[in-house]
Amino acid sequence: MKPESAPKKKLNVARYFRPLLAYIVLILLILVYRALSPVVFRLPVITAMLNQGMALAITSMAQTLVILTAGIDLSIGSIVTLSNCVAATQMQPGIAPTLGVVLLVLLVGSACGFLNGLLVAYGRLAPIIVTLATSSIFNGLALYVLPNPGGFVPEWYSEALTGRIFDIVPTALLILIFLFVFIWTPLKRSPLGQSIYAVGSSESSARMSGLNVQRTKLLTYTIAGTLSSMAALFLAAQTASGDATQGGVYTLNSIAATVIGGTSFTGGVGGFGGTLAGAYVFAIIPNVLFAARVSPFMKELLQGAILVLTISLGAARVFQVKNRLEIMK
Amino acid sequence: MALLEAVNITKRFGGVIALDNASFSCDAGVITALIGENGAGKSTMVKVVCGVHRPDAGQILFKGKEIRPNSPADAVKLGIVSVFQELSLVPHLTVSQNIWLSDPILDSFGLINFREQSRRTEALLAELGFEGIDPDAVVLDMPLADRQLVEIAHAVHRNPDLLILDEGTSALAAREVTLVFNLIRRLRDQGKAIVFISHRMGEIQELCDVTTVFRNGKDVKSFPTGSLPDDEVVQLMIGHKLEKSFPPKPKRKQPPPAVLEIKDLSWENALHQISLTVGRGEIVGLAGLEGQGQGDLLFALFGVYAGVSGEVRVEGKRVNINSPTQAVDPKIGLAMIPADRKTEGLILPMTVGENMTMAILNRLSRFSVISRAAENDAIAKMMRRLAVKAPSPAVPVRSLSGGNQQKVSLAKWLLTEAKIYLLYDPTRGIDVGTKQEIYHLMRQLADDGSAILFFSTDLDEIVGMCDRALVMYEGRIVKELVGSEITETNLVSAALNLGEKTSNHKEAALA
Amino acid sequence: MSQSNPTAASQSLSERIFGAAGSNRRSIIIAYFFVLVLIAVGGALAPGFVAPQSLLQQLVLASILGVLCIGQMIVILTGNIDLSVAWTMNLCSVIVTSVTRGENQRVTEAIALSLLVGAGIGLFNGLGVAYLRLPSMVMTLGVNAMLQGVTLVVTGAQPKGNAPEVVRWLIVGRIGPIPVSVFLWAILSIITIFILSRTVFGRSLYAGGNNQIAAYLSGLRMQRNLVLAFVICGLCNALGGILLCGYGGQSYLSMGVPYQLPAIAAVVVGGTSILGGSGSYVGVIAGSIILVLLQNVLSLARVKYAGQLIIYGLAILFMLFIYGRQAADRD
Repeated sequence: MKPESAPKKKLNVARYFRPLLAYIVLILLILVYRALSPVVFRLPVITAMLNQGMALAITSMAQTLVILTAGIDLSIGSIVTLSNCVAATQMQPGIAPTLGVVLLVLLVGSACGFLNGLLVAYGRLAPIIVTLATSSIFNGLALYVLPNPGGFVPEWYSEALTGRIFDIVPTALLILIFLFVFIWTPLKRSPLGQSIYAVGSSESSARMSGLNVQRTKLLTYTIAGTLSSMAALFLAAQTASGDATQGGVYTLNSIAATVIGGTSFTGGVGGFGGTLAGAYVFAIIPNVLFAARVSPFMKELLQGAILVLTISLGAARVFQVKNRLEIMK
Repeated sequence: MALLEAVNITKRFGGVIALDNASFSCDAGVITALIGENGAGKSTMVKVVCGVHRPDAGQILFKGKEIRPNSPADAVKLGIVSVFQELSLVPHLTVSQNIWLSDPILDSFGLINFREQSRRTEALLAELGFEGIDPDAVVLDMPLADRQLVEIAHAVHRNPDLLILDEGTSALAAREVTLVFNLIRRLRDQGKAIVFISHRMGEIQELCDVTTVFRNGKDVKSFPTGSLPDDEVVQLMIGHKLEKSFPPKPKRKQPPPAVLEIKDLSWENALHQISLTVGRGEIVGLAGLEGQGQGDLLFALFGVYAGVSGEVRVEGKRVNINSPTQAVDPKIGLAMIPADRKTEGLILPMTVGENMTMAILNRLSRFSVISRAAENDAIAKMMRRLAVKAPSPAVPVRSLSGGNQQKVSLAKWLLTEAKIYLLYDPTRGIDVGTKQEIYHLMRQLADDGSAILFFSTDLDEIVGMCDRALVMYEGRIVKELVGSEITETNLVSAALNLGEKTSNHKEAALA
Repeated sequence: MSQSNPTAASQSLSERIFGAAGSNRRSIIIAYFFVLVLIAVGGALAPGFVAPQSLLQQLVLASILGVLCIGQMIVILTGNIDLSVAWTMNLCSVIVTSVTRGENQRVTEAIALSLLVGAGIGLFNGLGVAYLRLPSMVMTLGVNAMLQGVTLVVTGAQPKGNAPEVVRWLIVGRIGPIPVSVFLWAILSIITIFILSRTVFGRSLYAGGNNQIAAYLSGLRMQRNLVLAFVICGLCNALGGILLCGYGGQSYLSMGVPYQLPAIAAVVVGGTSILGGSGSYVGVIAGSIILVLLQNVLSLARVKYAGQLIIYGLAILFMLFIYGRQAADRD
């Protein structure tokens, strides 16, 4: 018994509103930072800021993809940890072996994601509990690979990723551009990408239209795993070590970044455009706090508050709704 | 040789036999109508043919070869495309994206060429005559009628040899129906086969070449459309004489005291200045074509809608109902049996007993603790009164047949001993026997003093059950018929709003 | 009770406790079966494992988890989740140690305040989810982070004070042969089982978890009950924090973090569907015991912590598969 009145057009505005808002908040934050600390626009500081948010940005892309299918991946942090530990234990000073390790790490991440995908798509188990269980498995594997924090990461590797090309362009910036232009955009415009959006929007309609829902989900989680291991490769460069105890941070923060960026938790709406802003909002909060001489303990408080506030914005629609059934699942 | 031959198909859902050794065939270059009551098996047959359901027994032959489609996608590959009432469009994608979803146009990089898709969609829509539909509009934002047109365009785009339309025109206005009919005729002239399922006899007479009648899960007869008189066709559909037995209506000397009074009720763009009364013991019907606001009115009364303006009085007292919780409260005493029993009326995984007592839990409990004895008594009473066929009240309600599920849904509300019952198409999809039981139950409730306001798509029901009938059109009450004024002719003409100006709207004839 | 009609809803005792759904009963039996299996394996590895003292000790740990699971299960039944367990526990534990400073003098006020704060956190979560329709996963995640911040700021990252004796007594004390916390857990379990199977509130949780729309249209007070569910969860998280404080003898940072995942896992291992609408606390009791036993058996078998984590995750997946897809997926 659907209401016979035509659906409202509010959705169109909302689709661009949230990502835009995320960028506005990001810009505001940077301005505040600038006001507190004049060095903000100096190259080393910009490089450091870009680096700071990179791992989160990459893992957030992974999480965004999964959330777009109306799923969730609580094992992303563990995949990062596992990949990081593998990198730190396998890397060698030479270039060729290191590149080999890079491939190995990507493989590890993809395998983790593939396992998640198999269980969700073909095992037909709910993503939240599957990825909760696999996060424990991956954490365990990480500890097994690297029982104590440490390991080795070649210096040239760290420098290359966290430094600047020709001392002007931060590598991180190039990586971000690469991510956006050569990974995200092609993916979004590919049949797989459209399938991801379709599955999240309405799984049954996607199936009726002939899309292979299972395969789409399998690929989504696998790619999420690959991206997570990419994030780990950058993390290894940043920390020049591995740490098996670091786990959960990226999981939860990637969810936050995705949601702040305007991707809908119920799937089908959103994208990396907004998520990127969300990730950096989250990542530079500690910097801003430091510059404002606010206790670093406020970091989580502020991050949590921003997350709750952001999703509450969407709640404004709830009060405008005229048919209360629409707000029920 | 027939293009499609489904032979001896049997399909069961739990304990319900939807298709009982049924056969169906249709030819290329012919538009075949598939008619029958709700629950007769037409939709199930068609779903079996296009891969949504797998038959328990039987064979499907297409172009002479046996096929076993496992999914609609399989069927599409074979050349069988269907348009169902449940829309299969992806809500957050655009029209063009939906049309090309399973077979996107790729550029040299292997990426989707959205612009080209949009261009070709525009051409397709123009060719079909569906102007006014923007290929880049997001489906979610479009009105129902446009969405249905897009569904049809989507189906045509997939180049079917057999096109199945299951109630695919239900939301369309006259002009759009004409467009679709022309399209169907063109396809037929090109040698395609079309199967057309509809309840609108007028449309079937106008469009179809052959009619096949289904009843109780079996095919009954196929004949050239129009070669049999209407009442004979109806008799084939319902299996017995046209007269449904309705309980007698009481004769009243004066109008009974009003239990429900509505004055100038409006809501959004769906309801405009509705005023009506229902008296004690009265059964008042809401008539008119489906989708004219009848469902909205019931929801608005029941507190589901926000922003309802106007006045509502129960037994003379003004009430402000803002939620179903308030509506159900004995002081107000409303009950509503919604349209979709599977998603709105019942909680399928829970037991028959749990579903029955869902609305009166507070009355069965003290300090929030449910009294087992009271609950069991209530359940037993209802199982008896409605003769619900179930092994025990402890089985999940989803294992019951449609008719029995509806009985459980009714039982839930009967237990509330409401003053006013709001019913939306209570006998839809129910077998004839159970329908009779429901009619008698309704009259009994009314005779016991309740007021009943109900909407039905079945004209016979309105004629047979109602003391008064209110015809709705575009959210307004356009006609009130009392007693002997309630006839099919009057209902139909009022429903089509004939005699009013600017009727470029629905002319699709009711039965 | 009407006896004359054979179709009367006469429910057997087992149906009343376990719920009428057949699949539920099966899951519970399987869960308790694995409890026995684990006890047997542990006994085989070390006879002392099955000694009453040892088992009671493990029950103490299970009781902390079990209390958390009461709240978590109730929230999961509605189709939601509470990810603010970790720092609600921490904050409430800190409240106890800070207010009492290790002395018994103000213990009543401390515990009362702690529980109040827990309920308040639950209320905040519940209002957001029920009235603003915020996704519970994200909402409670955000609240968890905020609570972490609050705890850090309040303690200056250095929580001081020990657990007062009364709180310690909850863990080390006995009532007869039974540890206090286990006794407490038993009582709370009975109350929970009663609430879920015999009250309007309990029925509406199951109804809403299965079909919010139909439950709403039946006149059930969906939003109010959802808020109540989160308040109960907040209370349970607070109580869990207090018990944990008694166990460790003090408050320390991140003390609640290791309990977040097990709280959810135990509920699911106990046969409750993660999607909501079905499950029985009887099974969750088994789930909590299984997880605690598993950890101890693995330690006994000298499995490294890394291995324990892996087996932990595998065990959850294993149980999900055994319960059949109904536990985690609804067709």
